[in-house]
Amino acid sequence: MNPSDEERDALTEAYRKASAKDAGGPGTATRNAILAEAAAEVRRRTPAANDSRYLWRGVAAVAVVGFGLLLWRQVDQQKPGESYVVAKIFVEPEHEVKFDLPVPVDPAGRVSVAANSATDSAAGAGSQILDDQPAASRASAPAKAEAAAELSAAPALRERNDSGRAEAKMSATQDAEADADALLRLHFPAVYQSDTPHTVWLVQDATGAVLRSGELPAGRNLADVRSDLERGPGGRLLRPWRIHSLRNARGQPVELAVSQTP
Amino acid sequence: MPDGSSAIMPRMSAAAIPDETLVAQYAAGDVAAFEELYTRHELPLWRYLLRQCRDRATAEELTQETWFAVAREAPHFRSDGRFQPWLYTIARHRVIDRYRAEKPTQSLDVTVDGGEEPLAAQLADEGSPSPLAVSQQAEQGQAILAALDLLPQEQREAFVLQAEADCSVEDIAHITGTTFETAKSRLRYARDKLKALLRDHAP
Repeated sequence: MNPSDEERDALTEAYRKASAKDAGGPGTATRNAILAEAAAEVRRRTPAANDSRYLWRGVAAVAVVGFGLLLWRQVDQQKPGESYVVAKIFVEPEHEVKFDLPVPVDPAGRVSVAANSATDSAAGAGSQILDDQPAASRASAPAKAEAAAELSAAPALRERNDSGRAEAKMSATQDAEADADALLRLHFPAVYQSDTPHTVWLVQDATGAVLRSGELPAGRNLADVRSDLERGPGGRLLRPWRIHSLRNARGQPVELAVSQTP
Repeated sequence: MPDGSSAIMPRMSAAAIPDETLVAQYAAGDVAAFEELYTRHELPLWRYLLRQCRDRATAEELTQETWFAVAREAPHFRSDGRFQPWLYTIARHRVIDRYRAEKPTQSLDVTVDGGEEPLAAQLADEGSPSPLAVSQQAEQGQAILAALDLLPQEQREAFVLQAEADCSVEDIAHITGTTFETAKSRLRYARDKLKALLRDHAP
């Protein structure tokens, strides 16, 4: 049954009167909260470009980025002295060979045991004992001690100097070659002035003092004796050999093998 | 605050700016337009929500949530749409979300045990005070509200949308997500039951 318009109006009006009297309305707090939220929503949607808060936020962000870039540049550009010291830490043997253990060999090609006795060493061709040149070996000790002191102070520098590693490493390689050249001149003066190629070796202790040194006969190279000698002076294992390919005063090639006692 | 009659019939004022224009103005940043919208629809929406949830505190919360959503979604309001159905659709979704979160739902229009009477009607007959008691204990105005509470939820919603917000059957169908015929049937059943309750149990 469809109600007539008159009936519908009477029922609706009766309801409206009752509802208006009964229901009241939402509280003032609700109204205020709704209107405040509407205003806040407008502010969120349209952040004013000239709002000073946004301006200062932008300025602060630019300042932080600029400061970061400045700091990065400061760290990236190392002082020369710092680079050298850091290089001492990170330098690694460029020509490290664990098996090439040069020892004096007699002219017949027999491997001598010069490292174990002065008599045998003297009999070996070209072999030289450290005791023959004590002053020279001691002269290099202070420089090594100084380097060791630098090394002990280096960890702090390492942390702040990562970006300078490549440059420092290159510098360290050059320094190592210069040291090898100095060793050659000091311990093998004849070889340094020779007109022919040579292959020489020496063993240092932890302080850099030269314990033993010698030369391989012509035609022999370091690889030839690798299977014969696995041990250094006193039967102690040596640290890996560093091979330096140098030129002497006459421009002749000289291979210098250097190792240390543990 | 406007009185109930003016708020019930917000579209009666010929000089009023259309709701849809006010929404567009608010979306453009005019907060005063939102205040005008709120003032127009405050009481009808409040009563709709109160009749649906029957609890003032909950109705306050739902009112706030609904208008917050209006403020948030105003920029997305379709220019060719109508504001009032949109507003009540938002409000209805808030009601549904609230009751879905609070308790499992079962349609009050389903019939049980093969009977023809909807579940809501059976529950009303069994657990609620009789319409006679209601009408005898209250004034005539309260009696009609008590009778309204006895209606199934969908019928009550249809009646309130028409009576409070002056919604057409098309609007009711749109807001409740049903067809025109379903909305029309719900409205007719609601009115018939209300009249019967008021007639049979009037003092």
